Amino acid sequence: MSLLADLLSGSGLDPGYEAAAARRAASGDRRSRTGRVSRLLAATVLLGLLGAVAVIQVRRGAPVAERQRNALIGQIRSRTAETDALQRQAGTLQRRTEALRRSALARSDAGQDARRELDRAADAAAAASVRGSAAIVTVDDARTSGGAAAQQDGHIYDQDLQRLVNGLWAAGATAVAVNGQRMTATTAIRSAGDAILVDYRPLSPPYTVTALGGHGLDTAFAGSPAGRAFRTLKATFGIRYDIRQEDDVRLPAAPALRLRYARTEGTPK
Amino acid sequence: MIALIGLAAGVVLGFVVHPGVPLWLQPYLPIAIVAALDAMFGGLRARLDGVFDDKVFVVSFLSNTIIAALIVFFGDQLGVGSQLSTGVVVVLGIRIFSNVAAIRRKLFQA
Repeated sequence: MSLLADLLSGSGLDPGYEAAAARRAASGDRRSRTGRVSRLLAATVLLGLLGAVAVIQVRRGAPVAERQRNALIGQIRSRTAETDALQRQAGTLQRRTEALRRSALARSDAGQDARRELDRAADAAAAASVRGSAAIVTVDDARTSGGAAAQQDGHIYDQDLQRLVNGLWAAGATAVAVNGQRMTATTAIRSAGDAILVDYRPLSPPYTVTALGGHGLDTAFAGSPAGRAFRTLKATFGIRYDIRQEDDVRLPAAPALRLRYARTEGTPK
Repeated sequence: MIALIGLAAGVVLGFVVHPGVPLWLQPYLPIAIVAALDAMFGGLRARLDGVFDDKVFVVSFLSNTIIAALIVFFGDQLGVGSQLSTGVVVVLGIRIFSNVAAIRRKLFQA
């Protein structure tokens, strides 16, 4: 370990300079001054250039990464807006078909029976917008100034939202929406990374779950196992959990349902 | 004095000309700079010791940067690039510190 030995002894780390000085003293020759100056100048210019180039590189690299990130975020936003617009268009068209179907069915007795049947089915499938008194539950991550561990503890996960929604159904809710998105029998609440997805669309906290279901739904939920679990979470981890009752709430219809048909294996789609 | 002028000229030149660095060279630039810093402080120490030699300085500067970049290059080829560059930075860092300590002792007698 000559490097460490050199360090400890405190002697020169570059013996080259001393050797060169000794050589010069021994031979006694003096090289031209211009040669020495030009060599030194060239080396130091190169050194400065190297440093400057490195600084420029680092400065140039950081904005590029930032710009790419911003471009991606912009793309996500514009695509989401596009989906929203298409969704709205689908909703308008759906309402128009609904109206046309209604007027067509209204002409006969059999048609009116079919219409009543349809209305019942539409309610169950969340295909029509509904209004009424509702319990509104708001949950959010705990506001902690602690480290990553504290942040993890007070984080609302997809399971928590699933438990909340299922608890509301169990407490007698007839229609549920999360952040304005209507839940159907097939709506998935999942997570992707840190974000919670409902129907494959990311939610941003706070999460507001609106459940239609007559008066007293809030107390029914608060007394249920799910309600007790959320009170415990609030007491233990400091998450936000509020529940209140509101009289006139309108929930939108779910986006158009995609029907799935069962078929035997081997038959064409 | 000449060294300072050269250094300033190099920095100005770099900022004015904006030379593009080829992509394959970019990973080796930071290591080369640490190596160049080592050569620079070595030269400064020799200057204060009164044994400065321009030829030794130029040769140590060039060989330091090239060898440091080469080590990292081979490390990358072998799949241990980050470990090897850590090693190079540690060794050069120790050398820079001890050289600067010697310069400090010379200048301030402390």
